[in-house]
Amino acid sequence: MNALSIIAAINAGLALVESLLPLLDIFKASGEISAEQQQELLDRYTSLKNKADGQFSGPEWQVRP
Amino acid sequence: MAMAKLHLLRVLPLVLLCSCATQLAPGPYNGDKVLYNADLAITTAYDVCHRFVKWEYDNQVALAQFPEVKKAADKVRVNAPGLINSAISLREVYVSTGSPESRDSLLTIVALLRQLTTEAVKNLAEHTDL
Repeated sequence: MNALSIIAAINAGLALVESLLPLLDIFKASGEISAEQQQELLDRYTSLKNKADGQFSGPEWQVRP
Repeated sequence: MAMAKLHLLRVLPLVLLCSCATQLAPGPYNGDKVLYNADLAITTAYDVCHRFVKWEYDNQVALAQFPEVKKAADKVRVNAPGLINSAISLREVYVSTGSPESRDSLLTIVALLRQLTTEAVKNLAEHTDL
């Protein structure tokens, strides 16, 4: 591990923060939620539900010693 | 990047507190804001938590000298699956029964999900100041 890898991790984190903004901005939505937006959310929910526990099976979800 | 982080921290209280003062057009939720907000909280909680634990996993070598990052990610790993799966179950009960009790249970777990989401984002934002 060196300073470059730490900087890379921090940069990845910052990029991640940026990528989260659109997700969180939806909470600030004002006005009317269109039928299309509702359908998109319903599809996202259904996809998540249909994965059952599979959505938590990746290695990133395992607690490492 | 710094602006993005500031913006993120500004949005956080909204994530936690918002009861989403929006109106639903005629559509698949049939005007049911409780259900819409529950689906929004469930899917957002999963997306945010997944991105956080994946970031920690992908950068574990570089982050090894910052044990608090792994601790925060492990907290998400332990708590998020149960909470999200429970929320999905309670959401389905609410849809099938529509009872006041199931509505209250769903609202309670949605509040917990918002808290989980907020903590994950807060941890991420804090630890990008390493």
